Formats: sequence, structure tokens, C-alpha cells
Amino acid sequence: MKSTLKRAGEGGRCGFEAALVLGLALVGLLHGAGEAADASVGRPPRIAPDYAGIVIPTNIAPLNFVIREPGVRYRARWSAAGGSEVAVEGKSASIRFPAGSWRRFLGVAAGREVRVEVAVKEANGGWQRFEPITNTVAPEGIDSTLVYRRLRPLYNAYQTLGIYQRDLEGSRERPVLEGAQFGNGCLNCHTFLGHRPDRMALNIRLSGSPNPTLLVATNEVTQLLKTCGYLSWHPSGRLLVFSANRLSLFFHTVGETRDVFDADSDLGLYRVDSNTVVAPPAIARPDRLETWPSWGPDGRQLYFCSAPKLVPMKQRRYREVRYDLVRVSYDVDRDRWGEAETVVSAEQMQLSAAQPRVSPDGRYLVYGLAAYGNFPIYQTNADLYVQDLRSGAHRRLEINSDAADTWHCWSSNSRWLVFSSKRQDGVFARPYFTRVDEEGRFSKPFVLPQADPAFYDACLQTFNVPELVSGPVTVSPAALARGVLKPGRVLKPVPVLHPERPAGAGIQETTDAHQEPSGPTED
Amino acid sequence: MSAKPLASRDGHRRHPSTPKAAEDRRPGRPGFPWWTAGLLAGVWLYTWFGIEPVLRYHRTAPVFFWGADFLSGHLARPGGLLEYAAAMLAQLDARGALGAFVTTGAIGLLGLGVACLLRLGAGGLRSLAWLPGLLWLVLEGRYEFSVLAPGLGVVLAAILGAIWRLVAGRLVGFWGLVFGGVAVGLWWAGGFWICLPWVAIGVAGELASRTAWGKGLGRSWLAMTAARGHWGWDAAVVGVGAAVVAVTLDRDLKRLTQIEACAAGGQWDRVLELAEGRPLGVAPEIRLAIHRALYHAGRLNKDLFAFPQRKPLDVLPSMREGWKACEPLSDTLLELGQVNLAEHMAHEALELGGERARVLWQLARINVLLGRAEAARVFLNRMRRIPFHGAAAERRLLALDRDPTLAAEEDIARVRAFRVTTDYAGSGVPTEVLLRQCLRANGRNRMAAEFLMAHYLLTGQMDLIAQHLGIWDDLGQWETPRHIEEALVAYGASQPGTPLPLGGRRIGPEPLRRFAAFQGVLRENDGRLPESRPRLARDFGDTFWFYHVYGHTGAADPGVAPRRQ
Repeated sequence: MKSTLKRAGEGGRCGFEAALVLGLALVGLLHGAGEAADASVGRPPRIAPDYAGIVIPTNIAPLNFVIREPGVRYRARWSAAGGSEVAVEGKSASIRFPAGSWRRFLGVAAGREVRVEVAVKEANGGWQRFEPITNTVAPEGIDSTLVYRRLRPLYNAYQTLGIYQRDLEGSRERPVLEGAQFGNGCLNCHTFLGHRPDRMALNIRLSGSPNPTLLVATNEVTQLLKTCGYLSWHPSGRLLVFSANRLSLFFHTVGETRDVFDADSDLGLYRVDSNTVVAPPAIARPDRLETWPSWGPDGRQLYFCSAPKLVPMKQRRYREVRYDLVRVSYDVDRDRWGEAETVVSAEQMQLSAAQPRVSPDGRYLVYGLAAYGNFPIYQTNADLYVQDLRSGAHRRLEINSDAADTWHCWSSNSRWLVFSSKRQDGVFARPYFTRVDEEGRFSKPFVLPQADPAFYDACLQTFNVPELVSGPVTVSPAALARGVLKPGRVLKPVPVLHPERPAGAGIQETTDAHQEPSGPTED
Repeated sequence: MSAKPLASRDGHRRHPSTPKAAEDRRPGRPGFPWWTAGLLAGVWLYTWFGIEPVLRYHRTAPVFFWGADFLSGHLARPGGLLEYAAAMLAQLDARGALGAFVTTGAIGLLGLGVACLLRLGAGGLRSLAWLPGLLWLVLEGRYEFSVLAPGLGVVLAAILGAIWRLVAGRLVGFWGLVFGGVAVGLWWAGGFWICLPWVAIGVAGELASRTAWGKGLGRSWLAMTAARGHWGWDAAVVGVGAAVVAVTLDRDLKRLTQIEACAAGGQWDRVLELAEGRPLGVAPEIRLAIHRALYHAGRLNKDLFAFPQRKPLDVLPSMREGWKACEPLSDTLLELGQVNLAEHMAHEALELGGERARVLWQLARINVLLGRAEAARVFLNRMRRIPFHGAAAERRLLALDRDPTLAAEEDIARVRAFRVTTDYAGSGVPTEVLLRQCLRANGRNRMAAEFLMAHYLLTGQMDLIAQHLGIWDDLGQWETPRHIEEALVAYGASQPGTPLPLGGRRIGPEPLRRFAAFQGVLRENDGRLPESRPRLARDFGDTFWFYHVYGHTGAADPGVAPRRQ
């Protein structure tokens, strides 16, 4: 308006324009005088996603949201003590904060409480002001990249799935590798070495051929002719412990439809330097099922889940299979394993353990517990638990929901935990973040923010295996696809018989749970 | 080829490429192109009523959503923009007349572009402009894939090529750069289908204007096109074209698609009308459509064998028979009350067939029945972005706001009454277990009861048919269906001296008489099945006996037309 007045006055050639502008201004003033007074609503606004009472990292992308209140105009403002703020106003209830202003705001607000004020203009012209929402900006940030597998809820068939990396400081998502790049193959768990984006391992499933594992070091991709299930890098980068599972998908006619049965599993150790595979008895007992390996941060202890093998080990006995959470010490220099020690007893808890992950500072162990089995994402009762490794005390996390909460990963600074949760609707898993303070309190989780705050409302894809890494994955999707289809370097690991391991007790090859239906089974 | 000189009105003979000749060819004041309009109207009517865009939509329509995310996904790759445009236009097939209009418009533009490019004008070869359109109609009539994306690419290339020929027509210097730039742009926007014709047009034009043989060819072509057209020739071309599209229309596939579409819309009478007395094959989605239609008509156990059946195919197809069965199977399982299994099949259809409105609607229903209203909203929110389906999704979202259980919605309440209550865990659920589970949950589940008996018929378990005759009593049905009677007669014959446990029911004289006749034919041929087959197929091809003996019904036996009973 200011520029219009100036132009009209300078030219003096169009008095009509000036009169029109003045007239409009007068109408505006009269209209404003006619507006109803601002009213205060004695409750916080309804916004989605739920960004109320949360703690956020200093480098997270704008927490855009939709105001679920009726109105004709909307105003939202994040503010911190000291005058820093970021505000948006417009006709749309979809509130999107400018990335630059948001970043500056978080920079100033680090370590402080912040208020989210929302006002909605009603059709009669009055503004409704809601009670402010109080959040906290943590003093520290989170690793800048989240890598996850994004796919539709899968049953037997799969066609469109991929591993993607999301810039947590912005909204950009890029593929790491998509199944379409290698004949709609399947991608299994991706594992990084110490949150480094340049060292990863990834198992691939191809139709009609062996399922290799890709090892990535910087931009070099090596195809390892070894099927690996769940993986964990030793902090030294010299060892990769993996599980070999015989999984099968089955279905229920009531309750959660999908379920997974593991008929057999062992752990194995791949030595990167010597290209050898060994199955030490400490982690590959013939009478037990071992899975979900995870190294402690110093590499001196390996956590995993272990259950006794049933005789007979039939799918109909799926409810009887419960896994203990155990750990075993390991001396990497002398290649010596200690005795397995039970951390969580399935017998005592009457629950089954999965997915142990120790925080990088070695303070906390977070793991999952479900009613049975070792595939918690398909069980609504799957929850996260924590053990304080100083005190040894266990507790169920207060952040759990009624739906499955699984697939957690620590940030490199041990302050943040990301996990997949189906809490929103019971079907689609989304990545949620929670902050862990010095006293071991976990803050209310918030969902991964998206540029479009209504993104999840119509998103038919599930996000699992969220892994935090310190920067963008260095290897390109094309290089990874070449590593599958036309690998430049192929290694066939040499099996080494362990002195204490009975001959012939080799490691079972992994089979993916999601396969073509094998027909009715009533075993 | 040399150009034949033309005779002008003043009697002098001039070469067609001379200005005077061109003047001669110039038509008088251009009138309304009635001929073209009439032809396009014919194309529109044929597409609407002959090809039926609704069937094309059912069979091959690409997935499309309103919204920036769907568009940006297409913009991120070469050719994506053309695919986006084609997918958007293909949605109009949901309304037959509009879909036909798109096809007609595209064919018209293609004809215009070709006419301009080849300088056909009003000459004798003007009908050539319609040849690509004819090919388009032929391909549409095959129902195998969507022609729209490649077709649109060619249409745009033809139009742009015609403009190029008018504006520049050269590939040297500045215009060469422009041509190359446009080629890159077109490759990005449309990929192969638009870039290749564009480059071909440019190169052909360049050859025609720069090489001696090209120039000669050009002159010859102009001479050929200079001859005045004749309505008789045009009419003959149109007649041949019409014959070609009529002959190449895949009527069998069209009918099968009609059956699928009618089944998806619950038009059971129409399904049977389309299926009866015609070759069908045993594709799982068609079989299932017929079984459901027969059930809804109260004829499942009376006329099951009048349609193609082949051992060991069951009353409920398996996903292993083809992914196209997943969606109708999900619908069937839901109607039976097997909500979890319906969810399984619907998700397979979603993964393999894409995010189509029918599957999204189905998954929303399933999630409401499973008590997950929020998940139902996600599916409906997705469906809301599909053209022509947004209103239905909106209505259901509003209904969910009022009542997350949708207790008042008829399609939900009906299933809820039959929902199974016991768990069966397995990689696959055997048909018998599945159906008996439904009956355990609700003994009044007529569909489960009739499908169970059909399963026993198809698997030849006559003893179980005899054991479960009480099912009809539970349903209050006193008439014993024809195939059940046939199975009981055959069972009785296999157990001589043992009275059949008919539970108060009686078998009429007609099945007994016919069974005796069936056996008589076999006896006449000394029990040799191959020799007996033609006559038995003709007279008994729609009976349980024929199916039981030969492993298929007469309708599944090509070359034998069974006589309907």
C-alpha cells in the first residue's frame, strides 16, 4: 500500500488511483472498527501433529502444523523469552514456518522454554486467542540425517519400497536405494557404523538369486555373498555381527492380521579384514535361537536376544517362543568370548525381548518387549523399556502408546531416541523423537516434521528402521544399485569352523518373512 | 516418382508446385468442416459405446491424485510431466462420455497435426491424416494397456512439428539450437514418446529441403496430394477404417472386463447376463465374480457347473492364481465376515495394483471394522484426492466424525454381524476352515453356508455334503439345490445298500432319472470316458456328475456347447 501511494503522489497523473486507495483504506478502517473484540479461549488449540509439551532439538526442521479449529484466518507464533519469535498469519489453517526464520529462532531459543500462541479469526471478524502451548528447545541438537525404510504395509507381495534419507534440518528426502532400481527387489535392515554416513551395511533380497549384503565404505560398494538378517557393526569397524533367521509370515483371523515366526536363528561374525565368517558357540548355540545382535558402545559387550528352541519347533507353537535379552563380553584383540549373562528374563517377565540398543555414552539400554516372538512391529502390545546401566534398574518407558512402539535408535550424543510408532492410527509406523535428560526422563515424543503438516493424514506408507547418522549418506543410489546388479567388488566369505563349534553346525541362511504365500500350513 | 501435371480451368497444364497450381488447389471460402466433424462425432460415439471408457478405467487407468506431492513426484523424472497429464486425462474415463471426448480430441488433434505435417490439405490423400487415429482406436479396442501417455506424446509432437514447419523448418544456426533446446525440453517433459517423433519430424523436414532425393520426394508427394479428393474415396476409407476397428475390438476381453466391473459394482444380474452361454475361461477374478453373482441370485448350488470349473480350482481363488484376484477376493472375504483376511488381500491389491479408489475404500471399511477409525481416515484422505471419488470419501469422513464405528452404515453393519470371532493362525487358511469359522461365528451366515457346500461340490467331498445337509434347515431353505441332489445321488450310488442320511429331505425323481441316463451313456461306451465325453458334455456338461468324472465342466471344455438344463 505504501508503494502505491508513493507512485500515485509522484506522478500526480491519476487522482483516481489515489482516491481509490484512500477509499479502500477508509473501508478497511471502518471494517476493522466493526470487528468483534478478541476473545480468549480457555484451552489450548487443537493442532496436528501434536506438538504440545514436547522438547525439540536445536536443529530440527520447522514444526509446521494444521490448526484444527474453524476460522477464516489463522495466526501462529513461536516465541521465547528475550523477544525471539517466528510467526505466520494467513487464510490457511495449514501453518508453515519459513525455514530461515525458524532456524534463527531455534538458535536463540536453545535451552529455553518456548510458547506457541495460536489465534483464529472467526467469520464474524473476532479473533479467538487460545491458551499458549509450552514446549522446550533443548540445549543440544540431533544428528542431521535420518535414514529409514519407507514402504506400504507389506504382506506377501512387495513392489514399491526403498531406503530414504531425510535431512532433519530441512524437509528434503532423497532415496538411498529404491527397490525399483534393481528389479523391484527387497531391501532389508540398513546398519551404520557409529552414526557415520559413509560406512553402512545393507541386505538385499533378489528374486531367483542369492540375497547378498552390501558393504559400503565411503563410495566403494562391496557385494558380500552372504545373507545377513539383523546386523550390528563393531565400533572398530573390523567386525560385523549378523543374524541368520528362518522367518515366515503368517496370519491371524482375529487381532493383528500379520505375524512372523522364526523357526531357527543363530548369530555369526563377519571379519571384514580377513573376509571370514565364524559362528562362535557363545552366540550361536544349537539349542537356542539367537537374534537381534547389538554391540555396546565400547565393543566389549554384545547384546542379543535368545530363546530356547522348542521341540518340535512348529509355527503353531508361536506363542510359546519368548526371547531373553542377554549379553556376552568380548575381547576383540584376543577374540575371546565370555559367558552369556541374562539381562531380561523372558520367563520372569512373561514377555519376549527384541532390539536392544545401548546409548553411545553407555548409560542406558533401551529394548523392546512384546507378548511373544521377535517381530514386535506386528504386535500392538510391543513397548519400549529401558535399563539404567549404572543402577541396573529396568522400567517400561512412559512414552509408550497402545500401539506398537519399536525400532529405536540413539543419537550420537545420547540425548535423543528415534523410534517407529503406530500410535497415530494403529497401521502406519511413523518416526517419533524423544529426548532423554540427565535423570533418564524421556520427553513426550513428537513425529518427524514434514513441510506439509497434513502429510501423514494421507500417507499410506510406513517408516521403519529409523537410523540417525551425522550427515547425508555419501554413496549414491546409482552406485548402490550397481553394487547389486553389476558389482565391481564381490567377496565370498570363507567360513571358519570354531574349535568349540560342532562340525556341520553351520549358520542358517536368512529367509525374508515377506514371501509369496506357501499355502495353508497347519503344522 | 514424377509429378503428373494438372489441367487448369483455362486448359493449360501446370506443374503442381508452381504458384498458379497452388492457387488452383486453394479452396474457396472455407466452410464448416462438416466432414471432419462428422467423423469425429463417429469416433466419439464409437469410443463411448463401443470401447466404453469406463471399462478402460476399470482395467488400465493409471493412478492419479490431486496435490503437489503427486505432481512433484512426476516432475522429478524425465517423461513424468506427460505421464502426469495422461494420468489426469485418463481419470475422465470414469465418466464414459468425457473419456470418449478425450480420445476423440486427441485423435482430432493428431489428424490435424499429421495433415499439416504432410500438407494433405483437401487433396485426395486427406484421409491419410486419420490413419494414426485409426491405429489409436485399434489399440484402445484391445484393452491391454493405456494408449493415452504414448498417444499424447505423439499428438504433441505432431502439433509442435507442424508449428515448427510453419515457423522455422530449418535445423541450421539459430533455429537448429532452438530445435535442439525444444528436443531436450520435450524429452524432459514427455520422454521417448514425444522426443522421438519430434526429432524425426525435424530430420525428415531437413532431408526433404536439403538433399536432392528429399526434394524430389517432396515434389512427388505434393503432386500426389494435389489431386482433388472425392467423397466416394473418403467414404471408402472411413468404411474400411470402421471395419478395421470393429474387427479388431477384443470382444472377449471387453466382456470379461464388463463382468469384473459389474461385479465390483455389485451388479450381479448383469454379471450372469454377460457370463451365461459364452466362453469365459477360468481366470480367478471371473470365476469369483460368477460365484458371487450366483450366490446373490440364489443359484450357487444350482448352477455352479453351468459355468467353467476345473479341478482343483476352488470356490475361493488363491492369490497364487494371479494378483488380480486379490481385490475381488478381499471384497468376498469381507462379505463373509473374514475381516482380517480381507485386509490381507486388500493390502496385496494395494501393493500390486496401486492406490486405486476401490482398494482405498475397501481398506477404510476394513479399518473401521477393526476399530481403527484413524487408519480409515488415512485411506479416505488419500481417496479424497482421486478425481470423481472425493465426494464419496468426504461423505464417509463426515460419517466417521459423527460415529467412528459407522454403526449406521449398511455396508459396515452387515459385515459386523458376521465377523469371525475365533483366531486361526497360519500362512494360509484352508477354504473349509475359513468358511466353517464364519459359520461358527454366525450360523445364519448364508453366504458362508452356500460357499461351503460349493466348496464340497468342487472338491468332490460327497460325504461332507451329506453330513451338512442340516445347513439348509438352519437357513430355513426346504428346497435342496440341484447340484446337491446330484451329489447325493452319486454318493448314494457309490454306497450301495447304505441309506443316505438325508435328514428328512427327499430327492425327487428327476435327478434319479438323469443320473440313470448319465450312467447309461457311460455303459453304452463300456465305461470309456473319452468316447462318452462328447455326448455327456452336451447333455450333462452342467452337472456335478460330469465335473466329478472329467475334472471340469462342459463350459470349461472348448468346442462343446453344453445344453442348459
